[in-house]
Amino acid sequence: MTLWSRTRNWLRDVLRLSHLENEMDVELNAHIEAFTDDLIRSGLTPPEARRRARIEFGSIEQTKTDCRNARGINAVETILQDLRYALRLQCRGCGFTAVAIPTLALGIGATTAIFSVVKAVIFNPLPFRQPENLVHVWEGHEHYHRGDQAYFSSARPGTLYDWREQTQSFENITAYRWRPRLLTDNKQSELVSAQEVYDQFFETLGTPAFLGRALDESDYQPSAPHVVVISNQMWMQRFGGDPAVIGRRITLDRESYEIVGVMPAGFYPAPDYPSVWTPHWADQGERENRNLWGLFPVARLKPGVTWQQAQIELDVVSARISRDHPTSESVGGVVVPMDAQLIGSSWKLLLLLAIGVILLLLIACVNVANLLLARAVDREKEFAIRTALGARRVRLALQLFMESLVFAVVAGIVGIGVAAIGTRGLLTVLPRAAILPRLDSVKVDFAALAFVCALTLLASLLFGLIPLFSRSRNRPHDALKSEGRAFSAGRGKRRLGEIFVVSEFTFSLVLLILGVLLVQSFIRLQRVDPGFDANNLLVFHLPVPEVNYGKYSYGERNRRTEQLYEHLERLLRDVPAVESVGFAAGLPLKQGLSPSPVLITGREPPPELGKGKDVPLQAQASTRMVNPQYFHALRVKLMSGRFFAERDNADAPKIAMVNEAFAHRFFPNEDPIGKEVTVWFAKTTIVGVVADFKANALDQKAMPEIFWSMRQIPSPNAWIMVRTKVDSSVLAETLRQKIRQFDPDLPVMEMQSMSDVITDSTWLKRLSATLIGVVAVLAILLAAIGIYSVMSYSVSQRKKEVGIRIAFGANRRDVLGLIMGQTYRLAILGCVLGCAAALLAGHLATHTVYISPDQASSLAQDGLSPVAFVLCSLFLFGIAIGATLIPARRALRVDPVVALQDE
Amino acid sequence: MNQQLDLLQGTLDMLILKAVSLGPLHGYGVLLRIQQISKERLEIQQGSLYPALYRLEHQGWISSEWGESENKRKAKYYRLTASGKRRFQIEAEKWNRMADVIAGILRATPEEV
Repeated sequence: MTLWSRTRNWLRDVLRLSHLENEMDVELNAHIEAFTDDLIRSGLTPPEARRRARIEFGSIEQTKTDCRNARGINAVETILQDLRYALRLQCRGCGFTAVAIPTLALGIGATTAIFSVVKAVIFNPLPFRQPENLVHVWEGHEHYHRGDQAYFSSARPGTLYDWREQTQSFENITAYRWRPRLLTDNKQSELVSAQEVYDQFFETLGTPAFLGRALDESDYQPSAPHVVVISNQMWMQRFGGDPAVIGRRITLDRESYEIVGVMPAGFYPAPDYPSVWTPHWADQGERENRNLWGLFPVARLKPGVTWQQAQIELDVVSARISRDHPTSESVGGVVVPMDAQLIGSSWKLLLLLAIGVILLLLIACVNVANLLLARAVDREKEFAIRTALGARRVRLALQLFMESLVFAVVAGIVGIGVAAIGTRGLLTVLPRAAILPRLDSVKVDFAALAFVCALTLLASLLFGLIPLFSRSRNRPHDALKSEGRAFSAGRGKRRLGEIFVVSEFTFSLVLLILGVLLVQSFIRLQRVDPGFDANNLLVFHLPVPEVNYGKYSYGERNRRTEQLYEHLERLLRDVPAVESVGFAAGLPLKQGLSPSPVLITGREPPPELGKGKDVPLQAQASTRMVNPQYFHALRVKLMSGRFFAERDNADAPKIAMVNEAFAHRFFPNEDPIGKEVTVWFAKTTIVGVVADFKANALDQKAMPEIFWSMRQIPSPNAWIMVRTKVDSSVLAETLRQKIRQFDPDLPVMEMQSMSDVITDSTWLKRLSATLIGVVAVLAILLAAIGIYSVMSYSVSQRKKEVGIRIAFGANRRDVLGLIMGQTYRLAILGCVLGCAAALLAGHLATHTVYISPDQASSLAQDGLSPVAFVLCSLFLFGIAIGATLIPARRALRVDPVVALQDE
Repeated sequence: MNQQLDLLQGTLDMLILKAVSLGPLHGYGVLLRIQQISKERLEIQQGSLYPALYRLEHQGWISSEWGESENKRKAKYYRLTASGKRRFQIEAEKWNRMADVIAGILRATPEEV
């Protein structure tokens, strides 16, 4: 007989199990009846015959079991039996199930949801060929690698081509430039986000086109035809996903371009996603241009070269470049791995969250372990009896395994549901994709789910099997004998329960303290005065299309753009209910400019300047071009001197205003008014000092800042601030219309109230406070349940002891004190451990989530206040006392006689 | 020799195969047939018969079908399969050889050794 047909028989038997049982009954009965008939024929009375027949046959049940074994189906039968028993047990132990399953499901769900987000945002590889070799290269300072992102800047073509010629670390080095393009379609114009890319761009990233081709060498000739590669999103939205789009033409900046390729979806995982890519051919003049900022260089490291090695080489090359071009303000280069750049600092928040959720999962596991343990003690006797009756260890283990499995599987299924809901919830809570990249690719991660489920399964199996290793293992009579004599649970088990309580205490205290700290620091942030009046202030961004108003670069004049700004200013100010209209390069709390070294006429320049070395941050200031109305629109106070005026135009002497931080830093004991300073390329005389206001972040001290008048030093990057006499949102549409009437091609972008800008700027803190807060509340809830169940169980185990003590005349209050003593001991231990761990976690939080040293120190000063620790500890302490007091009082109320008889 | 003998270990399967090789039988029938052939000299534990039948069926040496017994009861009849027949021949041959060897040993006289 082949193995296959034997297996087939077995399978058939298994599938027809109840049928087989029936047949077996019929067959054995027929045997006994036939035997009985024969005995009657031989002369016995029917009852005697029946008796004899049964005796001679032997045990019918034993025969049946042997038959099942003979067929190899007994194992299956056993498992089914255990399964039925386990399900019945789950249903019967309603309290246990009702607590344990939601606990575990919550742990599984929350952990999976958070890990799904973390994985999609951080761990999934970038959609490029060998993404680990891709780097960004910035012009800037080494400060960047100390964790401060503010100190790097875009590059210039001259530097890019120097790098290309002089470095050996890179396989390719190329760049792109953001350049919004006017897309005209059926007489409708729209400004689309676009990148102009230098040669080798697509070769460097190494992602092939989804349709058609990416840009290649043939597109980089002085006379190459206009071609464009479009994003998948644009292809779907504008061309309905038509495969025949290749070869069609679109109009960008009034010129016709041929579409040669469509990139795959999710190709460019940057927060801002360009719609089109056009090739940019740099002629010899541009390759030597050291004034045209705004390039974003991208490079691919040669195989085997690390970014640190590339950085070392770049430092050497940069020093040579700044020797060769002493007037070019070369500040060096910074190599940043692309994945680090794209994710930015948001991973630190996610890390903190992950730690929080792991703690939550631990609490959930401890809770369940504890419940299983309590149940195991309850069932010790059951197992002792079964062992005494001859059940084998393997058989008992199988049954326990089955029970744990049923339990873990049910919890896992509920957990999957929680994970799905939780992930969706996170995606709505986590703010727009502009800050966390790749949120669009977040899905419930099945690897994470499987891992977490496996973990909980393992935990429940492990703790589910505890009864097997109990002391009654070898001596079942002990457990049976102890009936009526056991005063309390075994020492070992009580110790385990105590460990559970202390660990729950520790974990939840850490979460609680972290939550309180983050919420506290967020609330404090809400109260910070930004230094300007954010009410009734409407802001929007207005990039000027180059095609209509001409090219622009810093330091060069463009009359048409300047006239446009002046015209818009008048236009908006004439709208009724508008009080003043401010223009500025960048927007406080949203977009800043990188700082530049400050030279004061009559003093030595910073010694590092122009020598290829970094000028210390202390010798630098941020710069901002503003119109004369800017400070009025923001309602920033003048401290001394005067504001900009209309008469300070291009023909007048160049002047500047500074903030108080600037005045204190550079003129600590002098009046800054009338002093001549050179920042960047502009030599100006200071005419006024304004009060400090928050420009970078609400929780950072104001940086030294210098302001120039746009009338003298123009900027193409205009943010417009409109101070209104009424609620600013009412005027939004009117302002849009005014601008559209003036020039329908002018894009009005990101229009919002300044209060919203402030709210947005605190999103990271709000998010971390909210999420950690939610996790902490869940953790407290679970820990309270856990502590309560351990304590009430431990008290119920001591019921008999309490009864005896009271029967012997002990004072109820003393007995209560005895019981509470255990709680105090555990709670104090838990508090100490929890506070120590929280101190560590708080340290981690301040040094990872809040990267800027300014912020960290502010949080360290007042954030890790002992008050939070004491309050949180007391809170948990209270829960522990409550959790003991309720069952203890119940135990004390019971009549000692009843308690002693109770079994 | 009236006294009943206990069955030698491992021989029940062979006896069952022999019994059903003479014609289809139900379980009780198998018992009666063996006792009849052995002239009541073998004692068979009734309870051990069924596990043996199930085992043989599981191994594919006998097959079963439901029918009606002589006294109009529903009964399960076992019959020898082709592979069971081969199996029985092998077992019987092995047994005979073994019996010969054992008998030879027991008959041995000091001169022969």
